[in-house]
Amino acid sequence: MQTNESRRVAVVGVGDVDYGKYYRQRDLHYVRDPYALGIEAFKNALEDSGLTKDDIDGVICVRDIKQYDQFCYRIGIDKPRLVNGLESSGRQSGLALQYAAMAIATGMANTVAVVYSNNGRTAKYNYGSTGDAGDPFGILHGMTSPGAQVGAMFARYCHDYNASEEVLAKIAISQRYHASMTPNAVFKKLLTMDDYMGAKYITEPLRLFDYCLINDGAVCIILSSVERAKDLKKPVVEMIATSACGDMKSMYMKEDFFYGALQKISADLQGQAGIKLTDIDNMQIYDNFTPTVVFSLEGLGLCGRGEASQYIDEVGITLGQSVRPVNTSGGHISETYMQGFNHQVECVRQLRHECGERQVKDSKLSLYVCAAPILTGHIFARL
Amino acid sequence: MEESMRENVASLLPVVTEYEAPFWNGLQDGKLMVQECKSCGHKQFPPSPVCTECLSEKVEWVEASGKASLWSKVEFNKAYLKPYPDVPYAVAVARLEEGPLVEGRFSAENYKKVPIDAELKVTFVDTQDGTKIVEFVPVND
Ligand SMILES: [Zn+2]
Repeated sequence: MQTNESRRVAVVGVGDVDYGKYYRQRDLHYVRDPYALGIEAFKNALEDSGLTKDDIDGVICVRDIKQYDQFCYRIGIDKPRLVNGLESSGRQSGLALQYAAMAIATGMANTVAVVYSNNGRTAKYNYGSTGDAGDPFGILHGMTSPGAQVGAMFARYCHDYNASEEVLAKIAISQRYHASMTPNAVFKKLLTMDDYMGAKYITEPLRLFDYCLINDGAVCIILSSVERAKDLKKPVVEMIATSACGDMKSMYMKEDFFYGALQKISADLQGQAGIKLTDIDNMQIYDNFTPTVVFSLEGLGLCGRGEASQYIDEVGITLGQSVRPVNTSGGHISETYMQGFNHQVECVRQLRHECGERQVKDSKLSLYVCAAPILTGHIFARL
Repeated sequence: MEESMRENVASLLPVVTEYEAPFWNGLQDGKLMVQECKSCGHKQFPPSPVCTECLSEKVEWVEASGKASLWSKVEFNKAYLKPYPDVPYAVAVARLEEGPLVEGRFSAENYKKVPIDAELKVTFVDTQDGTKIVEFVPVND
């Protein structure tokens, strides 16, 4: 594998759609076309990068872009050197960027577009009605949906560390505040502790505001070499570290709340980047449900086990209060449920200093992490 | 399986492969079965064609003791599955004496009053269509 200058990897383009506008269009009588959504994001990413479609020699399709050949046909890319599709779980978003980066680093492809779309709202997905094929015994007993699995972990966590749902409320309230400054976010109205505590339980111990949204949208992220990135119009955002680790059990829930795998990711990222986590300027943490943020803060080693609530009070997660704010665009629970893709876009925009009133001042280093059955993490740097 | 087909609890049962059959048959006979490796003694659930520790094929089915402890619990307020439209209902995640975590039903009363780490025992209940499922109850009930 080559590691010369030309094969360092950068994100050169990001594109998405107006999530809030699409969410407010409630009376559609059709399912939004997943290819059309993906194409909208792809064109926006091309425009953002200054590239043309002829520069793209790799295409990775994710989730509702089920058929990569049909997608490539629709955008007129005939002979890509790297092309494939990834299934619909959120763990794929970090992996998709890793596969693109590996192809660029080895010279298999030069410029790769990762294209994701999600029409979950108009297609009426509810993440639980068809069960989890991996856990038939749980399904037979009514144990379905990822939210219930994360809820069970959080109930155990509360027992082990004498924690309460208040820590989740702090996360939900902070992220809603961030979303209020994100132009295309779905939910922008500020939340109070009373709003949070007054909301119904979906699967206790998790309430409505602990859950990700279900909305339609798409994201495209274009990666290329750092060398190429330097000729393009936007500030160069390099992927300076990336790591993955499976957590392979028969159930989604993990008895250690993903701690062991997160520790490996954290060590890899800090080692590769040659920095400490405390050098990071902003963090985008996968939040399918708010407890995942708690588990990630602890698993990364930003605080001790059981100390996330104290970390949130003392170091903070909120813009203007914390040296290292978390989920600065609002994340899955307030901005948009693009399954980690919106988080990775926010890493890039924060490092380019494009975030307006939610900009973390002088951001130079941004971290993405996703705790799921395949864990991933990256550190991006502004060159 | 199409969601619309899921009306009976029996419809939630998986299509059973050869090595799993003793587990699912045992459940309908009111027995919770786990696999025991005759090479290294490891006990496992859910099943595998081999021992997950030593890859031996000498795995045999044994009935679990029925002793367990409460690892965690949740209460569903949203009806996701057509055979289970009545909410709320609770699920216990229990650690069997043999080691594995398994999920089973928990009564609304036990969900409220039984603390995590409490000792439980396995019982079996008939659902509406006669399909047996596991319900965990406190050991002294
Ligand atoms: Zn063995």
